[in-house]
Amino acid sequence: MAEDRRADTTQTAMFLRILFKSLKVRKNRVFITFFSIMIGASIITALASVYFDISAKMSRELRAYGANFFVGPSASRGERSVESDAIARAIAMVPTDKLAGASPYSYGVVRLDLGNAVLAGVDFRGLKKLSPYWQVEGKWITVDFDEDSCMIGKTLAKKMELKVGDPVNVMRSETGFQKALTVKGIAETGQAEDEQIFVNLALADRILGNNGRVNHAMLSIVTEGTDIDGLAARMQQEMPGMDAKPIRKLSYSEGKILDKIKGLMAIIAVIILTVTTLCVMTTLITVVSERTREIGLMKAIGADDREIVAQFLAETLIIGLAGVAAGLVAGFALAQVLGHAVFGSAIAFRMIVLPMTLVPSILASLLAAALPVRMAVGIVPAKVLKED
Amino acid sequence: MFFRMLRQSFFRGRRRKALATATIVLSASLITALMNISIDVGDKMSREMKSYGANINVVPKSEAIPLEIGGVDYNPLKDRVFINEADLPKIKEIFWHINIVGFAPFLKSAVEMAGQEKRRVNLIGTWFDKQVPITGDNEYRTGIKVVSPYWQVQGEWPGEQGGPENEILAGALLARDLKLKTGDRITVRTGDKTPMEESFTVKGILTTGGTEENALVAPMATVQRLTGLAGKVQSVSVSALTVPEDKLSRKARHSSDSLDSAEYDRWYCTAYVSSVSLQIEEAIPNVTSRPIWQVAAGEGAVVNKIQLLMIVVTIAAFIASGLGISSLMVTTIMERSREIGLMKALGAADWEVFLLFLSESAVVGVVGGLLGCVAGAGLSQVIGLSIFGSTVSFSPVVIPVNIAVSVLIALSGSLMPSRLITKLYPAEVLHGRR
Amino acid sequence: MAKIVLETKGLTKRYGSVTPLDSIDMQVHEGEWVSIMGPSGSGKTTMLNLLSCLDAPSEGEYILDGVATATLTEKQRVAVRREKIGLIFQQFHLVPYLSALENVMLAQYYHSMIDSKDAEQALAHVGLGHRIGHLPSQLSGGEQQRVCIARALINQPAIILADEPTGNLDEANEEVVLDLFKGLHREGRTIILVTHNPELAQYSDRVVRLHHGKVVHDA
Repeated sequence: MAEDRRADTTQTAMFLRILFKSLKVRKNRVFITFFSIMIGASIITALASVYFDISAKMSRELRAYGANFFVGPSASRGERSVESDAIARAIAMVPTDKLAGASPYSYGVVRLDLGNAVLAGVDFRGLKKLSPYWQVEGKWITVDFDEDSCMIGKTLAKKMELKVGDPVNVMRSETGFQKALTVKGIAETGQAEDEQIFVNLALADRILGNNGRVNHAMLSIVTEGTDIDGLAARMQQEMPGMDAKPIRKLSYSEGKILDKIKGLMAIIAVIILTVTTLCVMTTLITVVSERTREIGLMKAIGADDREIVAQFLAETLIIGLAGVAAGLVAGFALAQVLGHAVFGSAIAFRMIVLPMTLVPSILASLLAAALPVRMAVGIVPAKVLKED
Repeated sequence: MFFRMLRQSFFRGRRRKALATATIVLSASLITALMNISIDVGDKMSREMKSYGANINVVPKSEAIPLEIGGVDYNPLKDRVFINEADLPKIKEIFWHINIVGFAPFLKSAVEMAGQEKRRVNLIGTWFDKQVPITGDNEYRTGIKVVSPYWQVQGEWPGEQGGPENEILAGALLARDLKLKTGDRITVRTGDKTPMEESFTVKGILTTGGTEENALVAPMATVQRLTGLAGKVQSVSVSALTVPEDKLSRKARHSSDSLDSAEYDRWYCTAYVSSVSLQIEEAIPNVTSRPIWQVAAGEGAVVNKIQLLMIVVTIAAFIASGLGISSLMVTTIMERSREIGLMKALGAADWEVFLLFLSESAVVGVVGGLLGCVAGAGLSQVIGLSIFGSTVSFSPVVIPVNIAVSVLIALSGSLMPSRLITKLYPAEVLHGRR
Repeated sequence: MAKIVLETKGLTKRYGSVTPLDSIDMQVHEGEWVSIMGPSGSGKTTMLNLLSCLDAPSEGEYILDGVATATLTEKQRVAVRREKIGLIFQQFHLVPYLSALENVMLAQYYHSMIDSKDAEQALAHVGLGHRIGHLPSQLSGGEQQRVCIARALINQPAIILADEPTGNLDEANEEVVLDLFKGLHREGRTIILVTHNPELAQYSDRVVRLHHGKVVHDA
């Protein structure tokens, strides 16, 4: 009947009226509860954002280890070199945001003033990004048309008694090439490069007479979010004469390390959530104890346990939702601070962070309310109403 | 009298206090655990990074320049200078011997395979998992399995002596090209002045992701025998736990003369990859020891990031806990306004009331902080074991820092409602008119 | 003969070795105004708690408006409180953040249906028609108690139970509240008043005196 329906809406309206007035009068406590929940939620949001983005970030950091992808002539064909266009096409197949660096390599033996050495023709700009761990004394060669400079490995430099700025004669009898190049930088890697001399690809082509062919290329590809094996397969398909494959030794370790870091973040988030839950619980207990008389009164005039519980849970839920909403915003801002402080880049927003924060925070708020609500329900009207 | 009041006041609202203390304990233990882990994480992650392989390369001080392309060396062996295998255990006797995870020697020779005359293949000799007695530990084992854990063998690893079947590993690419399988017999011919031929059994197929996949890998003893170089090795790869490079180490690398004696001591006594390298050079005669920068720098970059991440997270946790607990203290004090009114009605001055509450908070802070340290130590181990599979070392400096911070937080939380305390008029509070 | 609204037989409350209320037999007819008196420690408070169903007896029967309440569960007793009893306290307990009107509507809310018109009328009935929007803190003691009375009446209870209703009021307000009770009595409400103030009790139909938990006088 119309009257009943009016009564129903008034019941809900009354419930809400009691609810909001009750919250308004206790602004301090409400604020503190809200604040605690907000802090918990924002920490979780921040950590969760980092958690879900950290694989991408660390994956990029791990590129510091250099090349993790090899493209070269198919070993089964027995060939030692491949067209540089083919290499360029292969490199172009890597999504630009995932390619950290790449360089083709062209090798041959040359004669220097004091002995033979292995010459490597490379793309210096790509090489610098490919192998950021090179320890260079002097300077890198920065442009690819520089035909007067070379970089030398540290051991070779020592043997050949060369310092930065010295000229060195490079000779190759097969092509009749002879020129004095200036040592622009001396590089140390602790590996084979220390014994090699490096020049631009174009110059190496002239020196070695390779006719635009190179030996192979090394690439540094960000693994997170990239289907490396798929990429390799596609390259092999496009260019059947070539071998394209990831360098396993690096990807093996990467996964394990990322898992450890993520595990750490998760544990920290759980603990912080527990701390804030306890804070919320204590505040709510205080609230209940301050309202014992009010609760006793309500029970005396006929309020059911259910009604008392409903009111308290509703109050907590409202504060909880508001706290979580604020926490999500604050947390995301906090994540950016974290991201910039540690990785120097922004943390990407991921949808999954929302439920990851909401669910535990709300659950925690309700859990925090559990004990206080039990206390409220346990209030005996007779006892509290007679007290002064 | 003050202390009697303090005691009485303290035990009022025990349950509430217990809860407040529990919260402080929990957050203090979190902070303790985080601090411990931050301090230790560099070491832990460094250990994880060992799976990337050796970070130090030891070679003889030689005159000749190796001409190596694609892992294949074009220089004849006879002109070379070598390292004595017998000197190798000295690596585990340097100042930083604890940080030496493992080492493996190499001896390479270009050989021909029967039926593949045009093709020169590298035969690499190394230790797989060899017992190497060192001072203080007769059972010490090391080898390529320790240094390069990413080497995968399909089949079985050969024994250190090769065994009656002359066991060998075939690199995966080589095996694919020559269609080799586990159990196959191959014949190898060494060039040079006195060609020797020998048959081997392929014990396993080796995947490494590197140039070894094009080679044959045999026990060191086998290769030494084949090349007539008993007791000699060409290079040694060492895997060491190091700390990332910083200003001091870069200065030292630039020129060891540029350090004064105090700086030199500090540098020598810090496990930089360059100082460990130097110590190896000092231990073994006639060698040059160099950091493999691809691994060392890469590791340094990653470990730095992770330490930084841990520190930032610890600070965030600090602030979060601090705020949470402060608000807790605010609440617990606000609910006692009645009591405050009563005290004032009885004649207590503002500052006396202050002192009482602050002292209570300080006690809660100290107790909570202490218990938190204990719990935190336990928590550190739980985290350490579950994530890194090893215990976390406890740094004593964490204790005083933690207690100090817990007390500070508890006090700051109590200070906030202080203005409230002073504004309360006894009459209002006692008669509930607020 | 008016029907019996409230009856107790052998109503007893025991706490361990203490028996604050010992075997009370009592009958109250519809429309009667009964005062329960006695010194402190006589069991007045316990009697009140039992009669208002805030507590259950250890022994005996308590039949209120046809319902045997002694053996009810807490939930059922809450229902009885809602429907059959109007409670008025000495400290006029009102929800501090709700207005006078809302405080009365609260009783409706827990009972069944809210009807703000009824609530307004109830407040007008006690002379507070112009103060319905005020918070308890804005009302004098006497006004607050009157709101309590309005609240107690709103669900048409079988009995009105008042505990020292003027105990916290000054003389002037005491007069006003007393007049209200007299009015209620005239309207035919059943009133049970617990007090130690003989000036209030003189207007009741009968006085039950308690001493050490037993009835020593009933007239």
